[in-house]
Amino acid sequence: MATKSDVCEDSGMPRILIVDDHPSFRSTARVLLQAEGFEVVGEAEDGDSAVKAAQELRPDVVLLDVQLPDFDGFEVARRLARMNGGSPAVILTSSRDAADFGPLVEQSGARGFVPKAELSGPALAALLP
Amino acid sequence: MKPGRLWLAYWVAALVVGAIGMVLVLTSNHEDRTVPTLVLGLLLGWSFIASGLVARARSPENPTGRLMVAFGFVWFLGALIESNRSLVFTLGAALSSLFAAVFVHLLLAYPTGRLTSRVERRFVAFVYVLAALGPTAFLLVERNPQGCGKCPDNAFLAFPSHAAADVVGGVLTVLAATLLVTVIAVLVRRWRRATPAARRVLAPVYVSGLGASILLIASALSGIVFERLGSAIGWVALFGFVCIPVFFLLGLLRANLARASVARLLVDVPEERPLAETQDVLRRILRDPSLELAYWVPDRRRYVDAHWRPYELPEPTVTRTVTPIQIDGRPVAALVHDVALHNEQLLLTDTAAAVGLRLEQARRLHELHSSEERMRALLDAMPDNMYRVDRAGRYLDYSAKIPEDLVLPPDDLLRSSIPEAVQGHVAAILMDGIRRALASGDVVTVEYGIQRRRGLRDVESRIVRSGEDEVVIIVRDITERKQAEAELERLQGELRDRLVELQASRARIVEAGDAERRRLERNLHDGAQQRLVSLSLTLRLAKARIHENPDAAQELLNGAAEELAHALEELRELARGIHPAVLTERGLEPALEALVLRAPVPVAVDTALDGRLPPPVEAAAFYVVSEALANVAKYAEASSVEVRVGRADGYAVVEVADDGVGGADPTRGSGLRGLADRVESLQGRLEVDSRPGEGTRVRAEIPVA
Repeated sequence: MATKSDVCEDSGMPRILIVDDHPSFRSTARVLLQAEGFEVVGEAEDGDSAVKAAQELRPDVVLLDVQLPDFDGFEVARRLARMNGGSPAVILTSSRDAADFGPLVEQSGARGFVPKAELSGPALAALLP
Repeated sequence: MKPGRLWLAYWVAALVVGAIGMVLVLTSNHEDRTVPTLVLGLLLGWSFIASGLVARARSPENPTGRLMVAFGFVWFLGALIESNRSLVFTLGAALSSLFAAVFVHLLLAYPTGRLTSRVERRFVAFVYVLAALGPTAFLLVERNPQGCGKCPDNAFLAFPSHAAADVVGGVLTVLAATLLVTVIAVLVRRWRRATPAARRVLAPVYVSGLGASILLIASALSGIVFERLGSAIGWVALFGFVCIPVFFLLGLLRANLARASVARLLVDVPEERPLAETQDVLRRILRDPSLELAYWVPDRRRYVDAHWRPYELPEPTVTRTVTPIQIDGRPVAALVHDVALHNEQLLLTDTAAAVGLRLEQARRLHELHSSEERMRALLDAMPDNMYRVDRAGRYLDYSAKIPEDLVLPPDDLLRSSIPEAVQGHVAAILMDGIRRALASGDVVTVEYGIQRRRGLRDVESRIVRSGEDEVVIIVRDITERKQAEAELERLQGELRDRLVELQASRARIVEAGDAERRRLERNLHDGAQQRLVSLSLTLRLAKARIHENPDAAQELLNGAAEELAHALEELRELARGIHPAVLTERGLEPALEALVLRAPVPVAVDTALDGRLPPPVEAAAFYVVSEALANVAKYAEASSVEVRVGRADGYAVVEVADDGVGGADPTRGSGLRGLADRVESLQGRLEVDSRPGEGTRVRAEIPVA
């Protein structure tokens, strides 16, 4: 499921794709990030549609939940890194702690990890170049 | 010359000599009694030669036969006196007494044919010299030695003198009489010393010889007084002489006749009293009532008598001697007997040999009997059926401790054999065992099943070689042992299966625990945690907007409260799934009532528990109902469910029955399998009855200690 954002077509704000299988988190995260300086260009509920949405929407950032129904966030991150025509910056997130995943976060090529409970615009911006 | 030709030559010579004598008698011009002389002269000569030749043929080692033949020929020399020629007549007269010397030799040497002492030999030599030279000396001085008028002239007449002739004749007569008396005395002395056995051999010859001698003497004496009467008596004496060779022969043949009866020793003696009976038979055959049989007992290394009393062999004496009997150089027995039996050496030798064989046979029979008795005692002492069987499998003997297990009725058994009496495959096993036992001498053990009156039985046979060509088979019914072994094997198998099942069950329990933890983690993560995360973000958002946009913040806070209520509900549900608190605190009955309230179909609960069950049993019973109801909700399409819980015979019984579609397979799916593991870990049993179309009934029985 990829939905194209209808807000701020070219506002200069970072364009972000939210990937999570929980609808309540996606909607909360969308409201929060939009409020804190991000343009949410789309949402995806699993790994496969996440990769497709990223190719179609070309976001600057992908907020990627580690636990997904089909394959996990690390695998999605690896596929996004190999994407043709430039890869988005990937920021992993989870309701678990980063320590639960050990070296997997670093090895995935993701730019960083933000616990879900600490998600905020400035927390993401701090991880972006 | 071969013995046969020699034999023939003697007969021919006897005939020729007799014929010559006959011619001489018939042509004689000085023989008054031609016919009697002819008949008796030939009869006497030929009877001695014939008897001698027969005796010689029967007992070649005994010189008596040869002496008798010699007597016959020497007798015929006397016929020369019938010649009409002077020289032949004179030679006949000179040799006419020689026969008497041979006769004395014969008498003294009888029955062995041998002179036993130097004195006897010198005496006989003297008689020969006197018989040869005495008449010649008489002929030198006597003009008419025969006292007949028609006789030819005495060719030897050198010194005719009546006086000298009287002296020489007188001396010769005295010497002859003395010698005759001496011979008679010797014979009488021998007779008196002889044992009864010896007398039986001596008697016929002595009586006839003595009779003949007395008649001859009488003839000689009476001849002086009554010539005619004397002649008559002389003929009687000659008759007596004719009888003598026959008696000699009889005496010698008796030994041979006795030898023929020796064979009866081997058959006459009954087996049970071999010694005493053998001794009796020996006494009869050897005609020695004093004979004693001494029997050598190898174990005791000494002799016993016929009644098994210890016996010492006596030192040989003049009248009694000992003849040992040996077989293959080993002593078997000894005969203590009259020395006279040595006169019948062949009889003694044959008898000793026969006795030896007989006793050795008896000894072996005895040993065999004792061996059989020992075997029999052994057989009787064993608790098993036993058979003595030969190489071909024929039954020789049996011992029936369990008569109904004999392969054939006792009457038929000894006429049958293994190949005939038992089933083919068993016979093959047994015959092979017999062959191996006979070849190796080892105990061979075989096992097989055999059909008996009380059914198919497992049998073990031990086969032992018991002789050159036979074995003993000890048959033991091992059905019970086999059954016990099979039962043990079955129990061990069951134990192994249970161990495997236990390990599998433990693995499944661990796996189920892991799966449960994963499910909990997932539920926590997906449920309450997500809601709390959203709540956290929503609260932060509301906090940020509360000043500039209070309405929006108000809306966010309403959403947050709702989210929080959902989170709490999910946590409660989760906690109930981990372990229902009401079960721990209030027991199975309230827990089940709470459980069925959440069930999607109507559930009737019937609990009949008297007090609380042990916690593990309560938990197992709760999860049986919980899982069964979950399955009902998922698959059964049921309209109602009945739950019954109670106690029966030390078991807690839990039953959940629905009226759904049935067809549940307890071996598939982890739910029922996990339940079964949980119940079996408490030594209980879980049954699922779920025929298609007939609903599903899950029943657990858990022992309550």
